[in-house]
Amino acid sequence: MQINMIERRTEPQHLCIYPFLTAASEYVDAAGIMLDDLISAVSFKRARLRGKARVIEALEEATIRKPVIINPAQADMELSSYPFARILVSCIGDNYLIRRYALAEAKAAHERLSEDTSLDIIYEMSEEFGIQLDFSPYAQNQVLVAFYDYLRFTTNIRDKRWRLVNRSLERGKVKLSKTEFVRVLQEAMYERIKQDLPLKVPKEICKTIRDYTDDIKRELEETRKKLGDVGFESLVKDPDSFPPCIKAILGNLKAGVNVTHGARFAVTAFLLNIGLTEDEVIAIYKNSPDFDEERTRYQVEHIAGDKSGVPYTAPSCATMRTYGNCTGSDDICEKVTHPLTYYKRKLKDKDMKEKREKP
Amino acid sequence: MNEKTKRFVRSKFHEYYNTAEIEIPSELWMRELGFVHFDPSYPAKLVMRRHKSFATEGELVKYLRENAPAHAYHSAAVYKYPAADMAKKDWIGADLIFDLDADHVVDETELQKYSYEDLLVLVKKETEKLIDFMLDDFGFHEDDIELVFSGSRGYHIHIQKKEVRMLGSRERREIVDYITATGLDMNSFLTVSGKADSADLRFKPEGWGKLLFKGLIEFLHEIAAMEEEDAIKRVRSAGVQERKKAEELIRITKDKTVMERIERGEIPQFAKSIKWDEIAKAVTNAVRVKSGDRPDEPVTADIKRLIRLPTSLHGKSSLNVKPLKLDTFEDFDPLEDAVVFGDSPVEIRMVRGSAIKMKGERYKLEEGEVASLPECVALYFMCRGAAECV
Repeated sequence: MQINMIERRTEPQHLCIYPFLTAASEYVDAAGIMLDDLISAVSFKRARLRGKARVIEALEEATIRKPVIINPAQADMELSSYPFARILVSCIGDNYLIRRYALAEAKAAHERLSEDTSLDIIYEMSEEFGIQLDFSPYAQNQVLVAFYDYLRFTTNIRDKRWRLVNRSLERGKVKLSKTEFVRVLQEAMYERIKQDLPLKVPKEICKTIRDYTDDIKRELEETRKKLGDVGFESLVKDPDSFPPCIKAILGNLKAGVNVTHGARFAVTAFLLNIGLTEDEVIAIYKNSPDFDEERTRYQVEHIAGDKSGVPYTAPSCATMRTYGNCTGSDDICEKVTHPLTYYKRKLKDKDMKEKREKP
Repeated sequence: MNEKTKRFVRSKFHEYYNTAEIEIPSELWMRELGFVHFDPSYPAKLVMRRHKSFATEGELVKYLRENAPAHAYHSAAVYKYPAADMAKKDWIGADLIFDLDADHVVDETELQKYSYEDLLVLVKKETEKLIDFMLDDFGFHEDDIELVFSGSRGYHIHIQKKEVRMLGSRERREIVDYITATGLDMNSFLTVSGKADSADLRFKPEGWGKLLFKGLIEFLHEIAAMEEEDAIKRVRSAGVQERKKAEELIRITKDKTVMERIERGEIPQFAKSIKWDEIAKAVTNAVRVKSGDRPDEPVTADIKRLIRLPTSLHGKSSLNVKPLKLDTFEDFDPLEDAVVFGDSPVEIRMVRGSAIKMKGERYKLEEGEVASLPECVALYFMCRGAAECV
């Protein structure tokens, strides 16, 4: 059964749950809400506070609570808080915050979507994200998605059961349970929310709303501290703690020895993953005998995911071994399966040692 | 290749391009083209002239006629500014391209052992598998698939459908992983039926599950027909090392009732301890496309690469980069059907020994030998760097 036109739901209660829908931004436009008002008018103070709350909730709880909408005025407030939240994270412009915020919005919407058992919402979302969808003629709770639509939204999901090779693919269609499809939609929602962030917000506007952004920045620092030994975002760059394989490749590059493509990929992805900038990585290749800045930049940007939006993760120990890039394995190597884990672990050990030494 | 030979080969390429009907890539004006000329440094150093673009068919044909390049390529991608530097081209989309070459299919160290003709046969087999994947699993229509002989040791497949144009590198890598069975996990295609502890496993006959299942049944039948010791060896080579486990599996293959159940897609609970996933790995080897892509050198996944221009000539073989039809692919013989030059005699001197079977005739020449050969064979040897003009 091919799904054609689905009537779009435009009632505010519905849009409040999914504020990233095209219909939601149309609603805000149609309500005549002006940017200036949203930024500074007294009448929008509640919308602004709610916008800030969205971002704070994203940091504190990794999700966003959806209020029960009881009247149209409340719906307007809730709906306009979404664009304001986007302005807030854009003014701060921190990549970690943007990802965390987008993920929380997507997660919140996903929770509601999972509770909704109607098929209408499935149709509506597929239409919204341009996903070609058929229903399985044999099983009610299964959908068939064109493989190219499936791939658009699943390459970010790490689990191996999401790889296309482990999927039921027949005649170009991937068979999914309804729950699985809703998970795919979460990715689509995340992409949509993250799209265009950070927005180009004029400096004066960011200045006007500084009270709001300052509060968020404080919260962001708190979250960072708590995550300090978990996330890669805040890792210090300490070459002494690099795993032996990465050290060896870097040593060769420094010495001007030609390094294989696979090894270059590994070291580039590793350094980008721990937070070096593209320029810093390019500088490392300057000693290379065949250095070509434009070419190198193109490749580094590719690995950083500038074009696809998705950075590559450094290869695992198993992959490093396969391509003969695993050298000088030590006792930490025995305990880890990934060069990044090695680095994290060594940093942590070092940190603890220092703390012990200086009471 | 000395200057005289180079002039001769180039003049022959000229002759070809003066009359050849060139297949123009779709949306030519948005594509980057690249060429290698028979210039003074050729073939010691190949200078790729990149970032060319042509507004009209006529311009491209004129360029080919004037320059008679040794190699001609077009981008898989379409760009807003095809002639700009890589960073400023503004990528719009890219055809889905597969490049199957003998040196991807055969291990580098083994390459020497095969003759050119044998390699072509091997690559053809992989290409046929890939086409089956595209039709059956990916649901492309025969008309969506453009198959081209590479002019050397392989085949190219171009798919231009608008739905695949927007796929990024990572999405394309998933397609390559699919056809090469990279990251395949058999458990994804097994479902548990019945109570947890005593449950039987069921095969989902979909996607790779179907192929695994088919391979597994064939494997079991093969074992059943063998003598005990041979069967054990075969099972061990498939990854089941313990003799006890191997014997157990062989017993299963001889039990009619159990085999019937397995053929229905059920793996009985008592047989679960056998390392099915090891066997699955072994059976995928016959089905998967052998490394259509090497993980360290993204080919299909590179959305900005250049691919040989169909209907151009390959400067290292003088053969035509020939577009083929799927329904006549089986009968296609590159050393007959992709030969564009004629039979008038050309005198050559071999600079190293070489052999080829062309248009049904076998030619084997020793180093230093001077011979008069049909033009097409002479050009082949010259382009390979095995012969010079006399």
